[in-house]
Amino acid sequence: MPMAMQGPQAQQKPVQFTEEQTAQLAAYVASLGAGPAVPDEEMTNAAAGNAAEGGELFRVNCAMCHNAAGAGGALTQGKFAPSLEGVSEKHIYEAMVTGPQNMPVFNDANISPEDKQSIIAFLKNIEANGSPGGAELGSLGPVSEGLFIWTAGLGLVIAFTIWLTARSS
Amino acid sequence: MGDHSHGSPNTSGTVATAGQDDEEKFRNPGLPPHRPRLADTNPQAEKRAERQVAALFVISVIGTIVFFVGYFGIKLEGGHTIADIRVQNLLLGLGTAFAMLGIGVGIVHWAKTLMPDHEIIEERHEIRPEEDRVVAEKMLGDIIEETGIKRRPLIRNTLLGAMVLAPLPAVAIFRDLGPLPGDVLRHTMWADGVHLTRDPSGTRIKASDVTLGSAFHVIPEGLNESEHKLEEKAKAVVLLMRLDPESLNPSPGRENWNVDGIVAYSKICTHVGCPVALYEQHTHHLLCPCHQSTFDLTQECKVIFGPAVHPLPQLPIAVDSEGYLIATSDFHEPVGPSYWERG
Repeated sequence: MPMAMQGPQAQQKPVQFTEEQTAQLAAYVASLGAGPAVPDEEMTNAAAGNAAEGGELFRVNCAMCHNAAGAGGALTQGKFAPSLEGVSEKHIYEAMVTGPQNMPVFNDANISPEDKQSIIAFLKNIEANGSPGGAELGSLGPVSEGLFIWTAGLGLVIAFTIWLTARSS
Repeated sequence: MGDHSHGSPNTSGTVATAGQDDEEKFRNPGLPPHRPRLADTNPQAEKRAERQVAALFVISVIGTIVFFVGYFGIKLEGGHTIADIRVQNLLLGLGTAFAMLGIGVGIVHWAKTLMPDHEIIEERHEIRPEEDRVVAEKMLGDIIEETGIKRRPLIRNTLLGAMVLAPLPAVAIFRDLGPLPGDVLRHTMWADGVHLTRDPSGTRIKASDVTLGSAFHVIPEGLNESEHKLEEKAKAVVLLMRLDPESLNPSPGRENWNVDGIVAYSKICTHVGCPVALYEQHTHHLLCPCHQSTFDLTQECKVIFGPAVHPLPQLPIAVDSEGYLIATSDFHEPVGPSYWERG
């Protein structure tokens, strides 16, 4: 806003306006017609949400694009769903009610404000807890795990076979 | 039959070649001279290798101890966190790995540095088909004679009976794969008047709640209470979206399957059955995350990319008197991947 360049997806770029200017712009746009408001502190308080319920809602509504661990994923023709790690609670909430770019809108009739709070709680929970199964390798599933095992794992196996058949000095 | 190979630490000579025209054949170069290892000649190196092997075995012992430290040392009862489980997994995995690796690497190192390493030649013997066959036949005859199977018909007959019956459990096990599915693949829980409800809560959806650009993940009402919930859900899940009615291009007969631009399509990919739920609200494309089959909502979910062949089946919907969305029938074609009987 304005987009840095035309493309399948607008990329994140350095902020152009101050916090105050952004609020003034939002207020002007809100005066033109009805739309979702900026969520207040209470709605984005992750501690008040139920992370277990949020996880179920996340897997039904969000995980197909954003990955089960919120690591993001590819869409069609160069578009992608961004990673949700390190995204602020307010930002996540606003994305759900507005549906930026190609993301569908999840209005309050679809996912209630309490459920949105739970989804945020789940995301913050998995962010804080780390991966119970060891190195997560970007949580990208078979791509990074396969690459790792085919290079590091097979490399180790090859090194062992060479050592097994080599004569001792 | 032990005359095919003979080896001793001292033989590393050439293989004798039979025949008259020796000169025209390649000479067998034999084995390279035996080279003693460091540990064979140097007592210090031998001592060092011995200590290395012992150290590897000690590493294995430590690995086993680490395993039990992880197993008993980390209490998971009450108030444990995922971080605790992670530490335990790490200790169990590393402990087992080093317990096994220490023994394996130690034994190989021992064999390579300290055990005798003389070369042995196993010579290829001449092919003697007639003799070998006679020997083999004699052996088989001896075996049959020694088992006494000819003299003991009771044993022979009971053995035959047991062998005939033994494969029958396999028949029973394979029978459990059936019965044939019949027409269950053609039908889902959807029927005329079944309400569309949210997944997973099972609450009804008002048509007015589905705003432009929204995507709802939908299950049929009553699914959460049904007996075979997962089997039914695997067939009945639906994605509900609202488009501008202008951008829909319904084919004849499907004009009244949408409600003011709200359309419902099966979420099961027609390729191999992954949930197609990546909805792009601007391009109106649905993408399957497994093999990138892409369906175009504005063309009744026709396949526009990827390995899927059939379009996604559409669920005909309407609103009831209170404004809630209902289905007006089941899907008009089987959902999910093709199968033989689908045609």
